[in-house]
Amino acid sequence: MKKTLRSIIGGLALASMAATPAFATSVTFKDPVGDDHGPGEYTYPTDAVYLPGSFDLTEFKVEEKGKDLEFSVSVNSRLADPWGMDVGFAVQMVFIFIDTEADGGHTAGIPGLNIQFADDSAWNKVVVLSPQQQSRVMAEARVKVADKLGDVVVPRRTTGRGKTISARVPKAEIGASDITGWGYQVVVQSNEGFPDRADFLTRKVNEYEGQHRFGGGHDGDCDPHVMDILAGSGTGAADEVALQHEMLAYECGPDGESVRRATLRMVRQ
Amino acid sequence: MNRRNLILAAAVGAALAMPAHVLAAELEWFGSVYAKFLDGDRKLQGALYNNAESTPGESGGDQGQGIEFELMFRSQVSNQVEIGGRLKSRFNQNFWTNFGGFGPEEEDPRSAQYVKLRGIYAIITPGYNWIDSATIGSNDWGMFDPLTQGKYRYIDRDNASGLLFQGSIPDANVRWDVARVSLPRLFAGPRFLTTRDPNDPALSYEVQDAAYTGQLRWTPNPEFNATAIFTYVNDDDIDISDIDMRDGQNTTSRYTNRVAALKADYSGFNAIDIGGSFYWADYSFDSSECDGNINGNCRFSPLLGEGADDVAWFINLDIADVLIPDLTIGLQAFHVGADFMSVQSARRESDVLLMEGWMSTWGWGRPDYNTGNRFNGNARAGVGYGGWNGETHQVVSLMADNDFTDFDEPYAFTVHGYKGVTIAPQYRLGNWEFKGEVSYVDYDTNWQACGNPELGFRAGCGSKYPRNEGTNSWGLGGDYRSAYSPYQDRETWFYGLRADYFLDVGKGVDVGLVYRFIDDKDRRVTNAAYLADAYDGFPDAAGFALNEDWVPNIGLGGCVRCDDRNAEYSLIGASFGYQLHRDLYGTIILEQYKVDLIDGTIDVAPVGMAFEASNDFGWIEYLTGDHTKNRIGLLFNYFLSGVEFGAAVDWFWGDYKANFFTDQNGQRVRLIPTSDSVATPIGNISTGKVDLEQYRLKAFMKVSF
Repeated sequence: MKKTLRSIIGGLALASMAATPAFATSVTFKDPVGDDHGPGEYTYPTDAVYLPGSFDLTEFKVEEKGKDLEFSVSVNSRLADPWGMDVGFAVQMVFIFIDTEADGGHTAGIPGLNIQFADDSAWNKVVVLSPQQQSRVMAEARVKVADKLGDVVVPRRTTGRGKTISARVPKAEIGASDITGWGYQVVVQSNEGFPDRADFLTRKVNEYEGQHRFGGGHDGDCDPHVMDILAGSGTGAADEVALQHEMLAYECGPDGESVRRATLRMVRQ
Repeated sequence: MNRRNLILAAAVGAALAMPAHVLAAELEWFGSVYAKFLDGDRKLQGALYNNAESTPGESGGDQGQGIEFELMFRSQVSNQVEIGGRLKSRFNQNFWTNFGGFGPEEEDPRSAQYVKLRGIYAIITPGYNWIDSATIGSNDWGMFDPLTQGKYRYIDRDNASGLLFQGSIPDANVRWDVARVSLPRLFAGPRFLTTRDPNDPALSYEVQDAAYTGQLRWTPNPEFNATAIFTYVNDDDIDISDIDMRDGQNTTSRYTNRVAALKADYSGFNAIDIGGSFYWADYSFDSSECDGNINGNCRFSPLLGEGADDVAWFINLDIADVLIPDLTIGLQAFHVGADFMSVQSARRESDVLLMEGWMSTWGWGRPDYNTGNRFNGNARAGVGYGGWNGETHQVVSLMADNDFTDFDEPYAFTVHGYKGVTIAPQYRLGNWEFKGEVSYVDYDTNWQACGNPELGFRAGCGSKYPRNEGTNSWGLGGDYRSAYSPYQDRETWFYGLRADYFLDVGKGVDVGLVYRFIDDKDRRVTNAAYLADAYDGFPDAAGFALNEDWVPNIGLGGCVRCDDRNAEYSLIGASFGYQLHRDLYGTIILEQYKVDLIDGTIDVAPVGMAFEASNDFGWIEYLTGDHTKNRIGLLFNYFLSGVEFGAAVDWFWGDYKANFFTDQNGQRVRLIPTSDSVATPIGNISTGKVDLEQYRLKAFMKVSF
């Protein structure tokens, strides 16, 4: 029995290695450390599960692995699983917006993020990295992102290890063209198990932080509910902090309505 | 994913992170409907929880169905005030079959499906520079630390109320939190009391008992953060030397508890993050309240029977991609002093150690191996042969809490006295993900007669160290809140390897493989001179009839090895998960557990054993021998927007073959039985093999609106 088990495991390992080409195409972007404050003033919730740096994007990488694309998002904190999600992380949720085509796409964001995209940065696919089960995320997407459902990609399994959240999806679900020619935007948010009725599993940002609410924003839905994004050329240069603030700048009306929506642009290699 | 944990994650949001888009003073309503179904072959109809035992008159159950309703409200009264709360019905015993309480149990509030106002709070945000917010009312206190002011477990989150003030000094990168938390009346003090005599209305006084906590969090840059916390707990009581109330009543402290903590994390190195935390605790208590008897009035207690101070510390290293790409290594060194007392530390739903810890399946499942006696109330308690399925929450509390839990939930276990090191590598190779663990644990509770061998254990331990169930290092896994043995010389190794593989067939199969091994050794009495003290015929067994067929062997004939405990636990398992339908995910789990246990000779029982060996009420059993337990488990998750269904089904089967040892010429030797039973202090134990089985099911529906 033990010999058989070893043979099966060994065979599977060899097969998985053989499926990975020696020189895989990849795209990597860096993001400055310490800019996990959205448009500039956002603060973390006060519960101890939100470790400093939990939402501080430091690196994004997409790599071709055979017929799959592997997405990896690193943050400036070791990942933890205080809510027992069993996938190595719990508090983060990441949206990877991808512009795969020169024309067309969506300029509206995802419900709950309160963002939009510039006309030259319309997205064609969004990959959602969530610690919740794929079927749970898709059940929410079918109702809350119904008009863009075909462009929402939820990996079969997303896991966290060290400081990196990663997942694989079939490349065919994203696009056939060269991944180095695509535009990317990574939005770091927080996994919310009980979201607002219209929000896609996202955590709110309010004027004052709460035990499980981000602070530094507005109590209305006019502020971007986003803690960190890619900016500029995605090299991690210091000036990308200001570019992030610029993209996430917003303006609210007296009743909490949006006057000026935060507008994101893609980052390209 | 564990359904209970998903509920937890969801409910955390439900209670504390609800939408805040309402700017005017309109009341927003939302909530949930939760239905639960239990089935099993133990045929118990206590509460609609598998394990419910600490409240007098209550017991767990493995049958029934119930539904409860929770209506939450919240209002942003103004830019400076927010209020909220919940209306919640309970289903503790209101099975559908008793028509929601219409019947003989109508007067019982556990059956009457009553609705209770819970979780009321007001948050004031005045807009001053020096304070961000003041929260008045219910809170789970999750903003502090598991060893100081711990987060209250989920079902208790609204039972603790107090005052919370929070603010920041942005220029100094400092945040601060100050809280006053009213102590729970039921359990947060020596003898599980917060007053000397709760039955005397002239003396009972609990309303001013409180914990005060202050916290400073300093984050000067993204690479470094440090936190300082101080907690002071005071159990205020009537001063019985002042019985003249005409000039007001004096009060005095029944006990005080001070805990100071310093924590820091640094991530400025390329591939290594380092973090550490140090805790000092001081506990003061008038020991004259305890009668000094190891089985006396302070035997059951979440705190020591005497004042003490001690420390706890943890050092964590996280190493990533140094030698081999995609290899990360977690390291932890830890020390939790035997006398470290923090009454407000977390009781479950926090895990202070990196290691996986004990196997929850052996978590005091109370299957009644020896007699199968349904009339033994403790055999009916607990979750049965299968134990718990969830991960182990390692807590620094003698109040580790598994009350009101089901078999699919985590299992809390106290780690008082644990000191050691864990190395936990993770590695990814293609579609494989590997997680390993090696842990070594020594114990700060390794002592002879509690450190006073010249006095013997009765005087040496006295009532300082609460025995609680008295099953530390006894039986299969010991008890989750029994941290102390009078005689202990123990070390434990934990090994584990998990492998997850995504098999790209059909919609993809999630394959999981697991192997775990625990080697636990306790030499107990290490000097022949102490054997007579430890094994003197068990006169502490007052209150039940000692096995009349057993002839005490006082002092074990001088055999020091004869009380040694050697336990080897193993688990080998596999799981296969598949998306059966776009909304339905299913998992099948196959596991085999084995324990090879030698718990001393037939003359050995837990030192100081009292009534717990009774066949009518006890929970100590003779378990030396070979144990095999097999499991087939099925898990299902079904999601639609706004509703989640889940189910967990288990079939366990296995056997227990008792082995027997005795002493001969000062050595432990195998005893070959000559009859169909062998006399031990715990009863006449059958030499035959005992077959054990359990079937159990839990299903639930949660609608969020």
